[in-house]
Amino acid sequence: MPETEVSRSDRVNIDESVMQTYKLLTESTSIEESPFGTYKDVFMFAASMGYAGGVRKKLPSGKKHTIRREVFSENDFLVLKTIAIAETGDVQVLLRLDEILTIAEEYAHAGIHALKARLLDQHGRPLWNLVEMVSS
Amino acid sequence: MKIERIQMENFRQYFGRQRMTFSRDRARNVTVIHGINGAGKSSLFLAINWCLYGEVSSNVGELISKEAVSRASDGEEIRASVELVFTHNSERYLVLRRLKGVKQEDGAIESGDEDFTMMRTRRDGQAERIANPIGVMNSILSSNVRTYFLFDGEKIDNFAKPEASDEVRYAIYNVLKLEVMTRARNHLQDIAAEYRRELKRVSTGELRQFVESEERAIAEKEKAHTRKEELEREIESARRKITDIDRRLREMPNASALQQRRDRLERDLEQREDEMTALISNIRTLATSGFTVIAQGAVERALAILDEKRERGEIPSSIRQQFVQDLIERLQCICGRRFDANGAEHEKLLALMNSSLPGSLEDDVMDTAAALRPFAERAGRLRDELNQRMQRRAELLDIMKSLEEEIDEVRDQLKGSPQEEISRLEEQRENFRADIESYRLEQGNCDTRIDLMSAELEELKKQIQVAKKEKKTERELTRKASLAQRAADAIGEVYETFADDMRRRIEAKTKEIFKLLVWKDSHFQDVRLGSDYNLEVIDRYGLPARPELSAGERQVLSLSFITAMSRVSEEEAPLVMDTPFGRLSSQHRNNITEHLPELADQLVLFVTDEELRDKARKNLEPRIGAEYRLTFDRKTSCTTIEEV
Amino acid sequence: MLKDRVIELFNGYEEDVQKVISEVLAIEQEYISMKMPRGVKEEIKEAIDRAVKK
Repeated sequence: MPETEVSRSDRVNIDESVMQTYKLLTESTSIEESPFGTYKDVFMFAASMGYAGGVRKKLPSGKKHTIRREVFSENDFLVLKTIAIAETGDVQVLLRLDEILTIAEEYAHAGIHALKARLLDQHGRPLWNLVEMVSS
Repeated sequence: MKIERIQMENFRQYFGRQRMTFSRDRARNVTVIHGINGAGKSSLFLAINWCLYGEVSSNVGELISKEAVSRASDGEEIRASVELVFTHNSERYLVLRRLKGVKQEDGAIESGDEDFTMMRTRRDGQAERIANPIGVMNSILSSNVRTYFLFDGEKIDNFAKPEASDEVRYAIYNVLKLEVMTRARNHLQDIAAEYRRELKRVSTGELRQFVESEERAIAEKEKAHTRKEELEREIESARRKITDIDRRLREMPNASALQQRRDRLERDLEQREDEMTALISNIRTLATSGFTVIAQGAVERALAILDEKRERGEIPSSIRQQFVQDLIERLQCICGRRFDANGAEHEKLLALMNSSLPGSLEDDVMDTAAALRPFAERAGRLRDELNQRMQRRAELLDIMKSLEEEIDEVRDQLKGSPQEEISRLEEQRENFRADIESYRLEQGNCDTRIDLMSAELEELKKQIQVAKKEKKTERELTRKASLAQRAADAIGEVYETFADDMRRRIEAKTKEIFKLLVWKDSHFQDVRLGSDYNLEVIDRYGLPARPELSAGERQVLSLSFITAMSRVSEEEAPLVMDTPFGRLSSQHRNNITEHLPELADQLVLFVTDEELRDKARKNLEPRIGAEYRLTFDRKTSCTTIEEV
Repeated sequence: MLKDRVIELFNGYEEDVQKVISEVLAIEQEYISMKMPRGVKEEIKEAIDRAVKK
């Protein structure tokens, strides 16, 4: 059985070391520069990209930014559950909220770098890079 | 301090356990211990010293009883101990010092650890152990003053020798708290200096610097805000002027048509721009929900897992557990056919129930699977919609571009108008538009500056907080340094006066006692203790008489000084004297024995028979509260204590 | 007692000075038998700390 942390809060953690990317993608007043409305939206992309890229990375210890569980919509959560089932191959994982969140965090921690590479490190404005990524 | 009793065990020639009680009676405050030379007086005197302070001079040899050693077998542990009970400031103390040794094969003793215990006995008789015995002993009768109270007669003339001023000063220093004051002053001064050094290290003046930077940043941010608003007003005014020009152009026959065309074009462009803004926002909403597209791989894999489970019958598709359970309860199929409680149908349904997942998980699995199924289709739809929107965007961009080109054309025509007023107005209009553009650019710069200053302010706020904390330490250190320094100064200020006062008191007391003890007092006029700490006896001619003092007189002077010190120190302390009179004439002895008991709270005298006989003995008699004789047995080399 | 007489010498000084001195003298007395008393400064600093915090 995959390793799960015994007890953790149901808040979602983002390591401080990658917060700069979260900020760049949300904070500018121009939608084309910062296409995302919230950190949660960035997180969903990061987690999905992490899984798609097949890289999962444990969060280092240290300062964290947290997102409350309620911020995630039904649909967001559905995707996080899906990633957990796909990762573990076990539907029982649905009973383990802890593990679902940990898997998501670890994929997001890896995926955020891929997201940054695709949106920020390219020629072109981030929104159009995002559109390009989603529609191709 | 008044000694109540001593108990020795295997201490030097005191073999076994031996005990002696000292007189503490006010009227009969003298305890006399008789013994010929070698009987064990010095060992008993040593026992008191060793018990209280642990130090013994190196030439005393083994502390553990030789008799006890000889009786022990090889490898056996032998213990020597001395226990003292004394009272001090109405508290009762018990002090025990113990030394362990192991007998070696060659009969020698290998000494082991020494331990020291001090207990305070409470009124109810319970004893409590004192955690810091050395400190407590020091505040009762510290080891550096003990020689003035536990007094070895052989050293009696030490203070009256011509070269003794150091000894005198040292004695006064220690007994009369001058040493304590000097140390306190030095330590306080050191500590004050330490605080000041630390203060220098801590106070870098950073806080002020940060606060100044903060003020500057706030001012600059404010300036940028003001400028931005100013620019907004400029833009507004330029716009009004453009509107004004447009109105005038509209009224001019030769420009009217062109201006109206421009009005239409600009309205159109504005609408397109609005549409573009809405479109971009729409695209953004679609694009940011596109993680479901990225997660499509996970969705497919998860669905495969869910389907596999269902195919194996672990998840009854569309048949809820509750439904199956209802069938079992009613014993009736949905087609209406009844079945037996033990029949094949019943078995099948039960197996289905048992192999399926727990209720809540089953629901979750079903819901998840159901929700995931449309994902692929939705992803496709999302892509389509995005493509559509992007196409529209491209169209809009084209439209806007051609509108702008048309507007430029109108502008060129107006500018090229042969009617000078029209071309001038158009030129002005052009200038205002250029102004607005540069104002906008400057506004953007203002925004950048505001953002920059906001970030800097946030950083400064943190630094100021840290510096403020340091400032607090700084204030505290300043206060501590000041307090330590003031205390050190205060001690310095009173020290000289106090030392002089003490010296004078000792001088007076020594003189008083010396007169009392010396038989030919008429011969001496005065005793002087100068600021150089020389103890002088002045003869009737007003001259220092010390060179002419007999050995006996010198000893009496010494004794007077010692006694004076114990009086002036106002400590309740015993005077324990080991063979004090041996070198005195009988005349001096008689005087001393007459007066000494009044001069001490408790007097313990170790004497030979020769020292104390005839008149001297008679003088002391009414003050004796306890009397012992030490007898040394040559055959066993042991001393026994007998009460007389 | 001589100890009290010494304390009285400082009657004219500020209260915090008096308090610190009386504590420091007691501390020094406890360590008086040692030539190089270790720990005495720490105890004095604690006394000063207490006086300043009050």
